[in-house]
Amino acid sequence: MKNKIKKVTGRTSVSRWLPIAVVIGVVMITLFLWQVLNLQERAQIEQIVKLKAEAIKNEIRAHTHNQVHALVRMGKRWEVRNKTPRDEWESDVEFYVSHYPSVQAIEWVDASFHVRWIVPLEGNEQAQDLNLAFEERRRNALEAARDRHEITVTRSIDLVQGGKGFLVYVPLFSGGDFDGFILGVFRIQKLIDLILSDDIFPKYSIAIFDGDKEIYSHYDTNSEFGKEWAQETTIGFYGVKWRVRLWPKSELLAEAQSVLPKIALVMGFLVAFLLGLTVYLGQTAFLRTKELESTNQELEKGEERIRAILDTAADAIITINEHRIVQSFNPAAERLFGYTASQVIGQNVKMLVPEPYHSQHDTYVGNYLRTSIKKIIGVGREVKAQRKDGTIFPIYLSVGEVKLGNYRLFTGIIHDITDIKKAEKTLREANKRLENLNEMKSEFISIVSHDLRTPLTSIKNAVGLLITEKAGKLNKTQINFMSMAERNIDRLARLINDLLDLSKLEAGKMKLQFAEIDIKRIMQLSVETFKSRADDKSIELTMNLPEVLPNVYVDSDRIEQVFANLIDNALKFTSEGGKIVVSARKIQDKVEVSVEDTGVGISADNKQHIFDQFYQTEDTLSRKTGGTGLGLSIVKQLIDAHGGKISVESEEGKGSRFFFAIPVYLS
Amino acid sequence: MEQPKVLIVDDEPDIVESIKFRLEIENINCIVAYDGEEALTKAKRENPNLILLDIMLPKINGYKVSRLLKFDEAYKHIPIIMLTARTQEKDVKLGEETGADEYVTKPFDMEELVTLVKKYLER
Repeated sequence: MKNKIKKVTGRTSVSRWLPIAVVIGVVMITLFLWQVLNLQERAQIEQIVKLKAEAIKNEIRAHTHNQVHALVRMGKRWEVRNKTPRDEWESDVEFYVSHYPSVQAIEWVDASFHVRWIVPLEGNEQAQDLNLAFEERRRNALEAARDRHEITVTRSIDLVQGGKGFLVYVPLFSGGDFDGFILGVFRIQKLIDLILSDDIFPKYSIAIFDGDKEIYSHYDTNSEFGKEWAQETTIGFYGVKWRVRLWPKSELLAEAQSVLPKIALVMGFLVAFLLGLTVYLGQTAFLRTKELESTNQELEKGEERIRAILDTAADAIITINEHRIVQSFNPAAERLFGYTASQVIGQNVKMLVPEPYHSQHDTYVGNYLRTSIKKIIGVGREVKAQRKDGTIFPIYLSVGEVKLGNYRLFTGIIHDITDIKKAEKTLREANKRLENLNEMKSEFISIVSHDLRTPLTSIKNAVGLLITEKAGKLNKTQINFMSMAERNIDRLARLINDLLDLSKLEAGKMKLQFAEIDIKRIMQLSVETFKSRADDKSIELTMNLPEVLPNVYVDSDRIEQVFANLIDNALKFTSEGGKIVVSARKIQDKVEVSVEDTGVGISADNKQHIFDQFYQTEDTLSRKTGGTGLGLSIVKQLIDAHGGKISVESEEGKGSRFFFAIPVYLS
Repeated sequence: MEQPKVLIVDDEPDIVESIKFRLEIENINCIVAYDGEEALTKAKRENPNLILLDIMLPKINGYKVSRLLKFDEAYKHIPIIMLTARTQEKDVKLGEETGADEYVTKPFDMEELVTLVKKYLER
């Protein structure tokens, strides 16, 4: 059943990789989306930084331009006033310097490029009367500015007062004459610090470069944070080019970065998991359904099969529940009991059981349910059943128990044994008759033997009296005929004795008197008995015995009878001048005895039947010898009764050897 | 020597007659009986020197006759030779219990029987 279901699922073939594929797919999409969102956000932040950088650039340029322009205005005033007097210039400049903290100093440089006036003088004394054209390159620059009437802004310089700064030269003219320059010394750090508003520093790090030289910095030198977001822009004024580098601080990123990508990521994973789970569960449900469908089909098939079995079973099959109520009743049961299924199902099974089994049945089932001791379950037994018409008949009932959870069913298979019972009875009667017949036979033989012996005794006596001439002289012919009669009387007597022995052996009525016996003595006795007959026929009858031979455990009379029969037989079938050897030897815990002759032997065909009753070989010799055909049969039965087995080895024309083993006496 | 007296008991007249004929040749006085009852009466009346006793006898069987005589102080000295066609062990055993002296199976050799009878008479 289980295997079948597996086969069905195999056919449905739903890939269990599908949920995993779904999860992977959704995770990929999520990651992609997350990446896009991240990129978008990054671009957004970059854009913010870029815009800020531009704003800062503009501000710096505007402010710087303003300050430079103040110097230009001073120059214009110098020209209008046709040289500004020193006190007026100084007060003007002082105001200016106090107003602009980024200004380190404003100086007047005369036409010979010597610094003459300095505001404020304090802190800038070392510049007093300094010749700015002390160096060739600087003189050229100053001369170029003078000649072109141009404002010149220098590259950043290291200020004598410390820090970075730059210089602004504004050429002065009065009435077309060159009057030197107004020189502004600006501190960059101060300048920019003032320009940049307070809302920039908490959110941005900033650095400004002139060429490769950093001229302004406002950032944590120990932190690399936000460098990847850095944006640069260039400020250009009066031939000077500054690079402004701006990058965000964590505060800005915290403000600008949203949790959206993270939410998207988490949600995406969640969706992936849920979707995978859904697909998996869906598949499982699908498979379950398929399995259930196939299981149902199997069950239906199984039920059909069972129904077919029940319907076609030759034996009646009845199921009952724990309350002995019939649950099913197959057609064979209908035929057997004469009820239809509908008449029985739902009824107590008692209706099929005759008294006294009726009440016993209750006890059986009750006992079983109470004690679980099985009297009838699992084994069959012969009981009686009752048909609808009231007739009682014998059945063979085997009961099986079916457990369905807590619910129990008992299945009874009922085989009508009426015919078997009849046959059994016939057989028993026939057997009894046979036993009687056998007894009668034994009795018959016994009686017949007795009744035969009585007249035989009279005849024998009468003949004996005549032949011994006790009743008068007889002539030779008369004696010959009387001898013939006597020989045949003896033969008849032997036949009767043999018959009697055999019937007793066969009926098992021969009781053996087992005793410890010296087998040698029996052999000697037997040989002596036949000695004269052997001599008459010129046959050499000898014994071949070992020096030591253990005693045996036998019935001596019967073993003597065996020897007598075997030697007698050997004498009959051995011609004049032949040999008969009676020998014995010990083999393990037995003594093997044999009687061997140099007689006519036994053909292979005859060997098979030699121990059968009344069997005589076909040749005329055995007829002539006057045997009964019972001798060897009696021998065999006697040896059998001793627990031995007689065997024969023979070659036609050479002789025969009969041998058997008898048990050694164990004290 | 006084003529010995032998009681021959058998329900078969031919057997009785042949034995009687043969023993008389040996100068033995023969008394005959044809059933158990008669055997007992004659044994007690005649007090024979030997009894030849068949087993299967009318009225009282040979075993019983033998037992009755052998357990009687007055007659137990009389030798009894049982004659029977039965050779069953059971019979032999019963014969022994009845105290019979000898047991001869029918058909017997007349000359052997004569030798046996003489043997007992000479004692």
